[in-house]
Amino acid sequence: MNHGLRSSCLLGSLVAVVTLGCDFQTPEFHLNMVQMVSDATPTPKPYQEQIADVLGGMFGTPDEPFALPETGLDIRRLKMAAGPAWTDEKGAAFGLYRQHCSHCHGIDGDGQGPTALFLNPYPRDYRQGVYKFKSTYNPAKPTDEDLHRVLVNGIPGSAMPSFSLLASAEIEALIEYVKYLSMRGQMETALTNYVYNDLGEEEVLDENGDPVLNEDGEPKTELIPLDPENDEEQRAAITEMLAEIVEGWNEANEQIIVPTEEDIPTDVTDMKKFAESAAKGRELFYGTRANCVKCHGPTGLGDGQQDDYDIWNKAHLQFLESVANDSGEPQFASIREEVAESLYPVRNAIPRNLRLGVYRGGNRRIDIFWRIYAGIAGTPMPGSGPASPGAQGTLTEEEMWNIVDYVLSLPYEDASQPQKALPINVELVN
Amino acid sequence: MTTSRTTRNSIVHLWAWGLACATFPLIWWGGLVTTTGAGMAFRDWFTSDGYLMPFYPWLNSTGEKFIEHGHRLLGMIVGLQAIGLVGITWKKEPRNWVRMFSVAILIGVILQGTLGGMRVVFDERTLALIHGCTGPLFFAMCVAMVVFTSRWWRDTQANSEFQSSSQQMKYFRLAILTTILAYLQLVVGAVVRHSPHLTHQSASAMFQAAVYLHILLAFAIIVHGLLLLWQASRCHFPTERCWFLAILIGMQIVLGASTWIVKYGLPRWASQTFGELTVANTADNAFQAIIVTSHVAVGSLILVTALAIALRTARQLSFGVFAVDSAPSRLGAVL
Repeated sequence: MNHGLRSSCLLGSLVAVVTLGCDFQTPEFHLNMVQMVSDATPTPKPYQEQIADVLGGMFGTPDEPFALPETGLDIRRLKMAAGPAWTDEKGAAFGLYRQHCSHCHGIDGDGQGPTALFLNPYPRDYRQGVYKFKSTYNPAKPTDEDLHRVLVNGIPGSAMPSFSLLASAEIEALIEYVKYLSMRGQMETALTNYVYNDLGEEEVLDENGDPVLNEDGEPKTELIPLDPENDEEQRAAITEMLAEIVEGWNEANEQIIVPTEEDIPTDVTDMKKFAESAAKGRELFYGTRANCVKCHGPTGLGDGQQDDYDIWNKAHLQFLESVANDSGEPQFASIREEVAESLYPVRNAIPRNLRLGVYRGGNRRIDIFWRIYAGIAGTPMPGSGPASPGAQGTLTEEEMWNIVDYVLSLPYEDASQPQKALPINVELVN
Repeated sequence: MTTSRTTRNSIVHLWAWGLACATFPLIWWGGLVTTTGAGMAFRDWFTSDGYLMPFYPWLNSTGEKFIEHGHRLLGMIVGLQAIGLVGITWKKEPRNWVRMFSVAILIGVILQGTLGGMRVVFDERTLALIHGCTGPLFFAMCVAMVVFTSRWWRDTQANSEFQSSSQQMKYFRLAILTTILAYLQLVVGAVVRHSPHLTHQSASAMFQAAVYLHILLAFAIIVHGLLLLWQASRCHFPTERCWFLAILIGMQIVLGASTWIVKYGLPRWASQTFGELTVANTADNAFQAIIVTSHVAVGSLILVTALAIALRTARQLSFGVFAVDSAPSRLGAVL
């Protein structure tokens, strides 16, 4: 082989390697495959494609986001947050989600970005629209202010950093994009349920309206297509689904938990009053009504019940168990196993060690009050206040403030006094 | 005549030093570009927002544009130095293979610059990853040039009294292996840095594999660094460089762990053992940028230190490429 030919081959190979390694494809959103092949809503391939098409029409792509006016989302902010990262001539940054968030939260917002496996806890999956640290009632969506607070403060004790150095316009763009990903994910769930419950197979009829028979003499069936563009009824149903989703987000500001003025301890610098309040809180902590001790443990070290799961891990656990027990319908068997293998290991929801003085949702008194009042959405932490405005709670607001005071005093209480910390049960905890 | 040649060669040597000293900041500034995500601060290249590189108002710029354009300017300076090196080497250096090597350095800097430019033009992370891998390789070439043009190199050639013993050969092999491992570690490190920002579905698998390999290679480099130190003492070779390498490796381990913590917090096993961090990291703050970028910079220093040890040992043993007469074969082996 002469030198020229050898060099050409070498160069060709190099170019081929670089080209194959390059990622010139346009990024796409992916469907929630756990949902698509679960026992609850097994969705045939043609429907998966149709759902992806409908979602594409309603929300666009990661590079070209789109939002219907009904969503109330600001398209300019979405365009600032979406797409590849770059800066314009005036120094305005674009592609903020790709630069700051997607490596952990994933391009779909599924919480399964490339780094997620190594993070503790796993990054949030936005697609259910469930957020932990917020000022609203448990089932309600977070307000923009709640999302802003998490972005600016970060979540201490987790991998979520503070983005306080970003410009406020950039933070707002990211909030808008997170809501967009949530709405898109919620819409996907709604469409999957709609397809499963309202569409499905129908008999094929001939010109006279009689059933067409197959080779076995059975009526031939076909899937009713999901085609809202040409089907008025489907379009109306999808519009209604979207309105319901958007309503949840729009109502968030009306769902903020506002403490009753007279129950808020006015003078927290009075140590005597604080000690009295904390003592009452301690009784509640160990009592059966609040029953904090069940999970946070007798020492508050988070060494109580540790074998429960949050909703995100529970969904994966249930799916993995269903795959292990039954491969499902033949058309889904292989894909179910593939999806099961792609999931990260399921982890338990470990209750907070309250003696560290590190509170993931914020360390202000009001932050801890909200946690006790509404619980932490998506986790086993229940709320002690009413689940919605006007409902009845387990504790009064004054009692919840007492627990706030006790929780704030816990880092300074001698841990060996009440009881030695229980070891983590390694057989139960994943 | 001897004095004249020595003077001429020392100019080449000084120029090579200048090039290596300019390339090191270029490497860590490049690391800073990745750390701060400033790679796409401009969407054009060879120009910056339409300005020809030297005419962009760099000192009036801030943030990502300041960082990215600073990297471009440093690259330009290194490019000019590489051109100067070829000129001086061809004029003053009698050894043909060293002249050829200076040309290889010039080709290296052109390719590296073009790769960086293509990363911008195509907005392609994979090219950024490759650019990050080839940068230290170019730095290694510059340092090799410093070693080749040193007076020590010439004197050792004239007065070589070293005999290759099996222990010395072991030392040489260890030095070569450490250099290879250090470079592999930089490649894997580049994958760790860039793969989270890739958008295809295999990015997760790439990142996970790279993290495990990065840790494994770190252990391998620690072991090789210590073995090198031990073997140098046994062979009665100077140990200063080996100590320097060992200190760099020690620093790098601390920086590596710190890099992970400032970017991703404590891993689960660590927070269960040592407790959680009490504060949230702040994305893109100066502390994070310094830690992460220092990790990149020290990595490239480890590579060139190991390479310098390997080249000097090869010279002392009159081994392999440096005992071969033919210039092309010497150059090929060096490359």
